[in-house]
Amino acid sequence: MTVNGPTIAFLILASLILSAAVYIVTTRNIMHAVFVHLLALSSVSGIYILLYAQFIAAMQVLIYAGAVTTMVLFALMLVKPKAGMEIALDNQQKGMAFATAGVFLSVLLVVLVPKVWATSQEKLTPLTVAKFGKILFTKYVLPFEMISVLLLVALIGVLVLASKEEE
Amino acid sequence: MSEYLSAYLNVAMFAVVAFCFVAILLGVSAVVRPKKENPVKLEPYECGMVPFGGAWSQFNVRFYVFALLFLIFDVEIAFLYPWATVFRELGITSLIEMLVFIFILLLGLVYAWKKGVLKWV
Repeated sequence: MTVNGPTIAFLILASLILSAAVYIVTTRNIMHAVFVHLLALSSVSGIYILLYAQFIAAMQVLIYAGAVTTMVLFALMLVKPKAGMEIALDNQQKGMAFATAGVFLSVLLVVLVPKVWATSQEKLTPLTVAKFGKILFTKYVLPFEMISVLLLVALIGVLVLASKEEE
Repeated sequence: MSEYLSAYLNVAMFAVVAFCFVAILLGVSAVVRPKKENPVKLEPYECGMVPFGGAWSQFNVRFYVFALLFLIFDVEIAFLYPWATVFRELGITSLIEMLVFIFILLLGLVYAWKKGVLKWV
């Protein structure tokens, strides 16, 4: 690995994401977890920028960091708060979880570390929104229309669930 | 470094400066200010009234529906942006494609409307 600007940026972003993730699963205050989650999501958009995907980075900030975080906050607000905001983190499956995660980690290490990744000499060019739009509205127009069906399903699903809740 | 990445270096520097700005302000004031706490001082400020209940209360499920409606149309608007950049080039075809997209989502809005979730009772 050569040490250059993008590599340093990647390492900083990756350590931000990982430490935020560790904080999220270890903190006892669920509200803090949501706000640290926001940091993780924003750092992921930085990774997208390093991958020359500007539009995806903007979508990440707009939809994940903006709207999804709001949704998670709303979901928490719906829950009747029990005494204080503390949550129990432990259960009896802790040992099992460690074992499973350990096995998964060792599989990843065995498979991924010796692998020599193919590299391309092709020069990366930033994906502009115009280029993205052109592909989206010509070659990938059917998946694009499917997005609206997916969103419709989500919308109707939440309306049905929410009205059941109110009864 | 490419021109593209050095442009985003500005964004990174801006983020670092913003973070340091807040951290230094809060840090310095935490070091300098006197700390004489008493129960009244530690209460949250609620327009001078004595606060009652916790800060976290249960919300009506209707807020959630509004938030989800917002999220869905947020995604829709985000797709309008790449469409706007290529509209001149692709012309009427892309207009029809976008109208179909919006129409399908509007069905959801009409359903929500008919179900009365937009009305606050």
